[in-house]
Amino acid sequence: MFVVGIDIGSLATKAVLLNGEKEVTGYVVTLTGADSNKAGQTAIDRLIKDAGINPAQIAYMLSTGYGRENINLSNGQLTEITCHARGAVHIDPAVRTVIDIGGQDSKAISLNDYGDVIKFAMNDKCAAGTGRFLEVMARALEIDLQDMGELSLKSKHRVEVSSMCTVFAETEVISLISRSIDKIDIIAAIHRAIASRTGNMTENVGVKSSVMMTGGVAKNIGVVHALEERLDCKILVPKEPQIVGALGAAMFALDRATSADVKNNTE
Amino acid sequence: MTEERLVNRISTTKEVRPVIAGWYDEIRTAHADGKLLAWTYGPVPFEIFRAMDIRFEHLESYGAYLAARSGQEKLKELSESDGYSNDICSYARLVRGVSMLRERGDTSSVPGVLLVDLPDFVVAFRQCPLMATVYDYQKRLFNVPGFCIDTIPAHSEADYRENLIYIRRQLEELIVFLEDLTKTKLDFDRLKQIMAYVKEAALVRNRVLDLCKTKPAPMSVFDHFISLGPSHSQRGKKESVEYWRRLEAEVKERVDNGIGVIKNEKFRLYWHNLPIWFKVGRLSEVLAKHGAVLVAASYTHELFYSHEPEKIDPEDPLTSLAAEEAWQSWLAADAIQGAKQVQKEIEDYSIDGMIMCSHRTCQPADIGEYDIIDIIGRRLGIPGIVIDADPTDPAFYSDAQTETRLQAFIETLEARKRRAATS
Amino acid sequence: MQDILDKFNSIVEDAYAWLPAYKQEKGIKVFGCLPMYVPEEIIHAAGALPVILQESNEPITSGHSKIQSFFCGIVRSIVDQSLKGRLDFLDALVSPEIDLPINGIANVLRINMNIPNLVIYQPTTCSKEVSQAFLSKEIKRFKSSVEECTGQKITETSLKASIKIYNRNRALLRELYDLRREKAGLLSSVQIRAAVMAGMLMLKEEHNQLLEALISKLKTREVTSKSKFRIVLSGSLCQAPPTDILNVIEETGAVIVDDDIYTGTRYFAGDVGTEGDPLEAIVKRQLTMPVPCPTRVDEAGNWGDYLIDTVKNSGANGVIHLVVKYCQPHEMYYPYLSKRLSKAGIRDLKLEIEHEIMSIASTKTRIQAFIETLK
Repeated sequence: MFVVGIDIGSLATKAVLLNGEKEVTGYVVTLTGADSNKAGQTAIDRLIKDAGINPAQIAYMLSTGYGRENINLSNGQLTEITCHARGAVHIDPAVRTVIDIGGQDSKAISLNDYGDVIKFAMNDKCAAGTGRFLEVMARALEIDLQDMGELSLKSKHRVEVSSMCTVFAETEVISLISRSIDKIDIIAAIHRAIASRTGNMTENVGVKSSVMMTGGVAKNIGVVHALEERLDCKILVPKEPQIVGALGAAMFALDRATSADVKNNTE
Repeated sequence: MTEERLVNRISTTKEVRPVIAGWYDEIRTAHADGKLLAWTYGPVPFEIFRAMDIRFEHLESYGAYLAARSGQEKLKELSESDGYSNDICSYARLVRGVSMLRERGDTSSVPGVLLVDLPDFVVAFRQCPLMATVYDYQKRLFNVPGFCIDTIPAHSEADYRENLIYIRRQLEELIVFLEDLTKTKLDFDRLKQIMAYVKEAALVRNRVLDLCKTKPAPMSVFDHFISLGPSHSQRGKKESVEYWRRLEAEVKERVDNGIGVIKNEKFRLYWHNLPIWFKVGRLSEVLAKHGAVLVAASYTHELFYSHEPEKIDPEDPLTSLAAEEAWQSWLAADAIQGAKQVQKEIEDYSIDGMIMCSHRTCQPADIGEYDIIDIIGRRLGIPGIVIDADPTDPAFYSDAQTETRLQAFIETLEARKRRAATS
Repeated sequence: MQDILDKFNSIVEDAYAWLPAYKQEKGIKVFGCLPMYVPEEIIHAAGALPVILQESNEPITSGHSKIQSFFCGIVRSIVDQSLKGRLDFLDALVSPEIDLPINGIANVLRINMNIPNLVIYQPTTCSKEVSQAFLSKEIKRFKSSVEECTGQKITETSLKASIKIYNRNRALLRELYDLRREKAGLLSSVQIRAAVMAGMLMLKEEHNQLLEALISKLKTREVTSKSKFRIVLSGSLCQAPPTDILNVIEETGAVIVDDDIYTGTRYFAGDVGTEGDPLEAIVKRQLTMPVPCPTRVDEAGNWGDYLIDTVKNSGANGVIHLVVKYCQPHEMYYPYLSKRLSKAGIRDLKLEIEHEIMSIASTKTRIQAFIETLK
């Protein structure tokens, strides 16, 4: 028996295949593009193919994320907040705070001792403090996005980027460059700005140990470091931070597949 | 980057920083000195507090004080992490941060000079309606006694007079409240002496304002903004009169010798609304680069006893206090009344253009700015420009955006001048 | 019954299409009242129709030439409407001076419109005697301005008659809310919203008739589904909540059982006393509004307590705060409310409401995630 959790974000679609023993037997990350239904289908096809299983073996598929309702194949859906929490707790049962920073949005989730969501906050109205922010800044600085994190750790002098808005911040960065401020210091300032934004949101839901970071931006060691400083705590980053939402969705799918109540495999 | 300073600042203003530091020292030692500490919101009558030796913190002054100091971002961060939206008045956010640190009992994350103790009681004057909310909220939070002086946003002279009576009655009640708390009686003679100094300082200050009508302007409004510090912290003290006298002497000397606060004065401008506390210095230099100087402003020329100080009667302090409060409420509320003042200043100070500062989180004077531009434009043909800022929050301010707008505005003034010269 | 619900719906869908036609039909003067807390009975007693101005469906364009974009939707919308001529059918404006933006646009409207603008200065320090005395005088002055504006004298008899009609209206709305509390899901929250809001746009005596008919039908209706997610809505100050949000809440399977919003309990809580001088009775109601407001300094009122009581009395298990973006009084109080609720073991969610079209998708995610936490 297998189940699938699929997280259809506005930028990337992630799918996880779980077996009956709660083991991850495969996962896929692809771009969502304009057609989220199609992206979901593509991800699932690849998942099945890579694992070499029969589609009939999938007992339940649960979708989450921005495109969770658009996908025809799913049997049910839950929000990415609930799914990120579940996924995080599955990886480490001691997690009580989840910080997810994706390409276009960020969220902070606080959990109780059962791993249930008690409070959450989202920033999905603007790009500041998300992966998009980093992209824009990397372009302005003419640095490779991949290198931003490592470089930020090398900063020796503290500079401030205070703007709230990505566009304003870009102007600020350009003016700092023109004043011959060391790019490394500017990069560090950008990372602190993200940490400040995200940190405020996280403190608002309550910071409780252990804290885990998920989402694509968790791969940026500079952001992780800046957040640890801002929140004054250690932050765990799982091996594959991007798939935590899909993993959580898969866990819920397993619940529903094994639950006696499920007759029609619908919500 | 060291550029030659274009602005020839009034040197008397150098006295201000230590005076303000001294005031905050007094606030910080209030409890150690066995005094009660009040947190105040809005233009409450400091004179009464002074007469009763009550130490007080004042929200707007405190916000201005914090704005220019490093470490203040941390305070805003704290309040935002507590769920305060950043749309909220930046003064309130700063102060909320201070109170949060105090509540936690751990203030190590910010420099000590930024902090004051939590209050024993709170007093508000509801000129900005939001002050009532901040007052009410903090009163519940700190669980302390409080007194809110209500006021109305008068729209006519008749309403202004009603309001004066209303405020005066509340001042009487405020005194009873304070006497109860402090277990002392207000010494009216002391209050009268304080009002006498207030009157004198205001008269000298107005003479200084008048001197700025000269061309070239001997002093800029930026020097004035800085001088507001002592207006609050030394109000009712002999020292405030002495400060203004020294300043007057310096300005007079400049006038006598035809010295302007900038060389090559080409354009005289008006500033509407609160200053951008963390950009006072920089903006004066930016304007000076284009030959422009600020000679009049709503905040300095229309408030804080600049209106008819000769009518202050020290023998009747409460009426004088109420009159100033009622005047401020009228001005704050009524754009038509506001436009009248602006018109007067434009005529008296030979003003070429208006800078209307639109503050993102400090809103009372924002509404009506567009109407004032329209009214003045129609009546006097003087143009205005709106810039986006905030009194203390750099997140809502962009050097590049503002300086570009100001430069473009001055370029339009130059074009007007050239056009007028040739026609 | 459906025809009554349809009528309410069509009225509120486009208030500014309904009002000019209604005015013509009734041959009556119309006073456009800004929110909140206008003593409408006085206007009614002069034979005029007080209506509460609402946000229009139009995007704000001309309005931004008179007011900055970082003010709440209702004031920007009203300024916009005034510039576009949508308010030209009004005979007068009424501006209660309750907080910063509402006070501010009283001026903008005065400058940009040709009709009288009757200002009511509302003391915010409600428990002080001097403020009560002030309001007493002020209400008398307001009465005189209304008389002058309508050319109609307001007698004690006519005022008492209007008060009776308004009290009846409030009682009926309370009855409607009682029914909803008992039988959650009886009407959709969009229908409830329309029922209350329609009353803000028509003569109360007509509204009373429609409400009476509606309630008698509802009493006999049974509700089949019993949702275990019972929500109290809080806030939505000065503005009606967007119907999108109400629909999304119900689509997740939750029901709204009570509220403290302006197009809700806040509007009809508390009656005007029927003993003694009717003007003084009106003053009393103004000063002792049962639903605490962040624009007022009310020693006796405590919004936290009120909200917790509302949750308990309605058997709710969650609160959704509808915070109008840029409404600083509400923004300032929200953290305090949230903490009080948290201490009382009540879950809550904050939603920001803007005039401009918001992505309903992200709101939907928040609401759904919140409901998922209530299980």
